[in-house]
Amino acid sequence: MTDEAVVRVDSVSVRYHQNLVVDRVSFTVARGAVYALLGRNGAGKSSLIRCLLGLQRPTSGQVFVFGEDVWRHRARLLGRTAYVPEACDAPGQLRVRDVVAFYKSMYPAWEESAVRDRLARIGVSESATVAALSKGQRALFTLALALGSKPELLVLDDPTLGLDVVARNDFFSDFIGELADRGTTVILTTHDLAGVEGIANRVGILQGAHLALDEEVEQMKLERGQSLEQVFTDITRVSGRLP
Amino acid sequence: MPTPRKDAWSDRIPVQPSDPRPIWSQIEEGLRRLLASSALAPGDPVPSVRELATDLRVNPATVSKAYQRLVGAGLLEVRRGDGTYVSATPPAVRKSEQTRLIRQAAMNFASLAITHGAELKTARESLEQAWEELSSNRRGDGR
Amino acid sequence: MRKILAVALLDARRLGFGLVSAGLVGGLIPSLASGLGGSAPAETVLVLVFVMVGIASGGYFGNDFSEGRSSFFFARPLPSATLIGGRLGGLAALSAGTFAAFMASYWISSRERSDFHFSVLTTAHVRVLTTSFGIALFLALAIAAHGRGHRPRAGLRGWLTGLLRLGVTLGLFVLTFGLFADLDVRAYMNTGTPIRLFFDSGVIAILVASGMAIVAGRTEGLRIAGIQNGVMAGYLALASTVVTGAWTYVLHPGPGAIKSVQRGTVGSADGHSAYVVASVDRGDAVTFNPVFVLDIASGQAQRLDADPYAGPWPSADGGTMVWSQATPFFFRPLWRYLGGATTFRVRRVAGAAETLPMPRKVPDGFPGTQLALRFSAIDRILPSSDGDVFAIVWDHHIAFTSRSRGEFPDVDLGRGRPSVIAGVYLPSGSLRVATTVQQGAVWTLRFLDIDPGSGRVAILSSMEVGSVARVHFDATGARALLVSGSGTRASLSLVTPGASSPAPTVLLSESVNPLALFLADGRIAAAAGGFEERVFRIFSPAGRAVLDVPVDEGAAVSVRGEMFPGVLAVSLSARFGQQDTGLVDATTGATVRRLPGLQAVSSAWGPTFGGAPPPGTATARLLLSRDGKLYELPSLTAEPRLLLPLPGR
Repeated sequence: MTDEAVVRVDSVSVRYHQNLVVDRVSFTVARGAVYALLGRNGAGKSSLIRCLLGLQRPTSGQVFVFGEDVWRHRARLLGRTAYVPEACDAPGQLRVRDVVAFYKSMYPAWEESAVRDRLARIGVSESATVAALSKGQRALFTLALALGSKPELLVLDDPTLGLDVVARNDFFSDFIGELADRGTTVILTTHDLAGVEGIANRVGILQGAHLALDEEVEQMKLERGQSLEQVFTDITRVSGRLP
Repeated sequence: MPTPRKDAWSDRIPVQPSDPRPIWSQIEEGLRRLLASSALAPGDPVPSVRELATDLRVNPATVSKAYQRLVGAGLLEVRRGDGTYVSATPPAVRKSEQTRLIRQAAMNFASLAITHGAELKTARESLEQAWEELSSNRRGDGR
Repeated sequence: MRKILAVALLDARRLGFGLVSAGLVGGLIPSLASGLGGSAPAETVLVLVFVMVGIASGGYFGNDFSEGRSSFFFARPLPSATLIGGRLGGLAALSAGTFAAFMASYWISSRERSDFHFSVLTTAHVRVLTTSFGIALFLALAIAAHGRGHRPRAGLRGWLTGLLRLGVTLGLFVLTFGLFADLDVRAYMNTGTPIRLFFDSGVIAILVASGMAIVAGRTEGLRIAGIQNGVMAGYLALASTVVTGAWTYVLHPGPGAIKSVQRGTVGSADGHSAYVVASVDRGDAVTFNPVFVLDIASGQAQRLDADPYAGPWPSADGGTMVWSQATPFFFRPLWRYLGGATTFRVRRVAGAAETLPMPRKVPDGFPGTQLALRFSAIDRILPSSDGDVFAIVWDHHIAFTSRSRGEFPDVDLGRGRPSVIAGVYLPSGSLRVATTVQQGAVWTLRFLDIDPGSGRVAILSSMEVGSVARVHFDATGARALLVSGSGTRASLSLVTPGASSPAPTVLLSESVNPLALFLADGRIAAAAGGFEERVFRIFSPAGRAVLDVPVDEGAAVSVRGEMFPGVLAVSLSARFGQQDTGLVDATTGATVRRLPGLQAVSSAWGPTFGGAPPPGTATARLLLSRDGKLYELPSLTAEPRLLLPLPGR
């Protein structure tokens, strides 16, 4: 199997007024890889994630997904990509079944029964409104929706933020199961370094609007002899200033 | 009667993601230890890649890699449609290969001990203790 | 297609219940209201219902772009156009459902079921729906976009820039709206097209701005807001350019644009100019009739930038002219604030226009408001013949101002709110006025002499008159012609205001539409009657009947002016025919010439203020045809010469 780049970020910059949050960042994510994008709060991760999905246009540079410019071909490319946002983005007044029906109409290869099973497992009733779900249920619901489309690329923005231990375990079970079953390419941002250390095989650290590090995890740990958390702390503790 | 807790593989194969050693290596080593101590007997099923990865919370590809190496080393075998099992027959390793492996491990052990300032006597005692432990597991449980 | 439906369905699911319920409730309101003794027509209630639908749908759409929500739609294989199409489909579905619910409960609760039909729905409702949707979407989108974490430039510089931009935008909007409103009021009174165009194009711009912001901005708040602002700014710039061009083109025509001359045209008492009310070639829908000052001898005409609703008012000798500057009505409060006064302009015939400062006491608009929106509080302004003193008649006051000596006192004409119906400056400089005041069923006419400098009022005489009273002074103010009556009949008398207890000399008693004028030598020409009976009589200066002029059978006669010395221009109307002018010798009574299809242009704005042009002068010899052509009669025997529309047009 050729080692093609599922995602190629090509000298992307993101600027808001005077504030340059991402400065000519480039990296690639190979098929089947699990890429962890790390950085302190406000480092520009979410902006970069949005650029990856064609949700936001970079100030300069381009993002290629499956070989095509994602800003220009967003609708087509997102048929093969799934997004798990930090917080569930479905309108709170909608019922679970309405959201599922909406997703089903969006994705031709929707796995109706698998999604149903997952929802039953989480304990989410189809007639419940999204707003009525607990935080943990909502996170698992969002993941279930994302996985239901059988995506080739999965993008997650801090998916376990604020989840309790049990919910987090359930999340990783589903997530790892997906990786095992389909070898999905994954890009995720997180603060849970310890939790993700075993799963990510490549890591990028955003610091000072640059990609201060972009390496294979194994390689990095071998060379530095440090855990991911230690490497991260070293690189991002620049001026000692809290973000 | 309370449902017996299923033995979590994460207890039996201690994997530390923060440990600098590659995870596949930790898994491999852990499985080898289980095999060595007869916690896993020939013909026993080993967990699926999915199961072990979920339990250990590691990338399935990593588990896959460890398994592949063990299969390559003849310690595990894949039965089509059935799963992965401990090899019924231990691998026939050439004597020379065996010697080389043991020599290599001994060299690692020795260099570790020396750099930590241990004496040969202490090292020899530790080795004998470990051997005793593993052998007793093998003998004792009568699995 | 399936995706459009999916998006529309989401919208319907979120809002359907609420809006359909609102529709059901709304349908009950008309019958509920009439049951309680009030009135709430279905059309009106439906407007409110549709406003709700528009606001809810647009608001939800815009709000879906708030942080953490927009990815629900955009992180899907859903093209932006499909998203927008789906939302519009949702709007349509919600509107239809709500309307159906409304009609259902309206039908159930209504009494006149047999007379039921769907005509309650009009294009106005569609407009209301689109507008409320557009505005709600735009605002919700703007709020959602600005709610993002990335604040605009902080600090003083950011504040100042923001304030400056807001100021410029607001100013431009006010300017644009003001010009549209002015165009509307002056030129499109019947259709209201300019304002409607502005409004409709504004709604379209809002929808386009929102659409473009959604397509090109997607989830990025900064870009969404930027595109919205950019498109609206561009639209505003375009609209202001267009309206400035239209306003300039339509409301500032040159004499070459004159298509025809209208009835309001009058000649100036100076004898050689005329104030021409023209219809111009700016489109058939235009109701704008600019006033041109025409120099008859040269044929040169110049447009007077005058307010059509206040003035222009000439002095008795035609030498001085006052008019209200046609400032766009919308800006007048600001104008007044800056300049302190409504701009009245004044000029001597030969001179340049100057500003006439208004006394402080004189308000701009009706009592209670300072806004001179359409009608000024000023009834008229009477310039003296030397062009120095101006009597400003407003409400029941006369305020005097002198250009050389400043403001003079304001004279309150007293209780009962008397109206000034005629006025003339005496050689002494005093102003002689005739006022009428109604108390109950009694109408009283009073002659007053007012000294502008001191404000002292001398009551000369008063008499009871009918509900219709008209007064026409002679050039010196010593004598006046009085028409007094009620209903269709009136009597014509000669009055000498100055003498103590003057008894009016009755010239014509109880006739139909009596009209009279003073000839230059002091004689009086009077005519009255309609198609059945008529009278045309010449009187001596003292009021003694001297000559009865014969008039054609079946023709109505009205005396217009003294065209040549001793020769009267008389309007003759056949019952179902055209109006002709007859030139009648006032001494012999013979008709020396008949000008078919032409009317003599009357000598003043009304026969009550201002003077008549000296006979034989060019102004006295102006004629107007039915199809709007203005002529001058060079001599008693010559052919009429065409003045306007410009020959060769």
